[in-house]
Amino acid sequence: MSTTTHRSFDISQIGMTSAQETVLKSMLAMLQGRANGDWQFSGAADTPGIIIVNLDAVQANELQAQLARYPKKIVAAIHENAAAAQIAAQLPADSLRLDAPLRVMNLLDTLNLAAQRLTTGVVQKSAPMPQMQTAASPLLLALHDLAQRTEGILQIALDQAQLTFFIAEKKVFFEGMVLAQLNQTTAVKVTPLSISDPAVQHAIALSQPWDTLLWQTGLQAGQGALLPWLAGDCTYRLRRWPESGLLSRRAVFVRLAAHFSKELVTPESVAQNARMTLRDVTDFVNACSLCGYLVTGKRAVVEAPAAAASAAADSSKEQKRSLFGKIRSKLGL
Amino acid sequence: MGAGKTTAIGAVSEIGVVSTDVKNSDLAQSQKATTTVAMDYGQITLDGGDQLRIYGTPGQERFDFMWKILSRGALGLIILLDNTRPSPLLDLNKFLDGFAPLIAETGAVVGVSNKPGGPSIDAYYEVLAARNMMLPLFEVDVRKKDDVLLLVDALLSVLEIR
Repeated sequence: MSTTTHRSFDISQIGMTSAQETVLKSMLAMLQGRANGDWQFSGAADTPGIIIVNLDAVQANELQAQLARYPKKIVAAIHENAAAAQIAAQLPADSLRLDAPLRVMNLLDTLNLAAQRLTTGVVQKSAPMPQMQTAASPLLLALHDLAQRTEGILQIALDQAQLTFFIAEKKVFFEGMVLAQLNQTTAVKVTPLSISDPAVQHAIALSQPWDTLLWQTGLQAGQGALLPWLAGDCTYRLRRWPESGLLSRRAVFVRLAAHFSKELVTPESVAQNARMTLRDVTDFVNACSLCGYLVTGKRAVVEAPAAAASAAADSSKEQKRSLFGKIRSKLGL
Repeated sequence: MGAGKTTAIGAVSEIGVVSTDVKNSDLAQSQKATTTVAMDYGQITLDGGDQLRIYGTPGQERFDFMWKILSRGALGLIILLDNTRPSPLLDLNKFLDGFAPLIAETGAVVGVSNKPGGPSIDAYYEVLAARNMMLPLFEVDVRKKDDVLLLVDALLSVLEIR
């Protein structure tokens, strides 16, 4: 257990509904003793902790002034409406993100990450947004927002094509060649549809798991670069492993998943440690991000080189590597 | 019981599984005709002559003395869960407790049978998260060799970076 266990931290909120607040409090009770730090929902403004911002309920032009009242807090954003994602651009770059609706697993990750930062004093204020490394197509951004939803019927219209999505319990039904449209630069129009709409009925006939679509989109969209909402100098960790059906390139993805599940790491450090190409790592990170498997941590700091490992440790590692290599070879992995 | 230990070991073992299956007298737990008591055993001979031994031990608590015995010197652990049992999430918690020293020392992978009707995969991850654990967890059909190999591959990958 980390040294943050006995520190007390406060949770405040801006714009949360009473239902969200009730759910949050019950989850906090459930996580008592399991999360790093002692977390209380007291609403105090000047104590260390997190400030949860419901982006659905805040005015963009008032956000900065509201956040200024909580100088010692890390921002954690939550939203259900896709349109609210635009407001997120005004948040500090190291802001955390909470799932909507709230999920205990995601909340635990967020609290632990915040506790780690608060303990080490790594609270960044008004840091610049991560530099965009690729131009995001409007369709990709729309998919990113849709990925936060668990249900709804929406039509995404582009100049040349209409893509109809029916999302229910994380299963998506769609009509249209989605991946072929990824790099369209024209604006997209997102329209809610009703279940009785003929386009919806047609789309339902072409069902496909949502995660499969998002995974494939993530693998293809970046073309070797991280997606715009990710940054190369930020650290990432998996909150869960990708589903088995998605690990088509298993020899690569399973090893990458192991590296990203141990601790918060940068894509570059994983490429070095796993002896993989940066392209493989960025494709994996992009796919995990779109599927919602990824937790974003703080920006990486340049650290002094670690002391040289002992010869005994090196030898033991080498022996293990040799043994695992033999097992892999025997099983054809 | 009924998670597929014998089948999973048989998928990767180069010898026929040495099994201690007997007639199932506990039909309240599972409707299968036979069940493992004590353990299953399989093995793989590696280049150079080393042998990788694979042991499967029953999940019922009355066999927990076997858990400790088989944990000694183990490289790692694969937990197989039957998704259709009455409380598979409690089963997971029980195994995480029972094998805690081995998991802390090496690592573990969780395979959940992909039969319909049980908790979602997210629910299993919630159990892990509540314990501040992050283990590879997959929905698998242990009758498929590829699914068993995925569990082994994930375990080796976790072990390699420890």
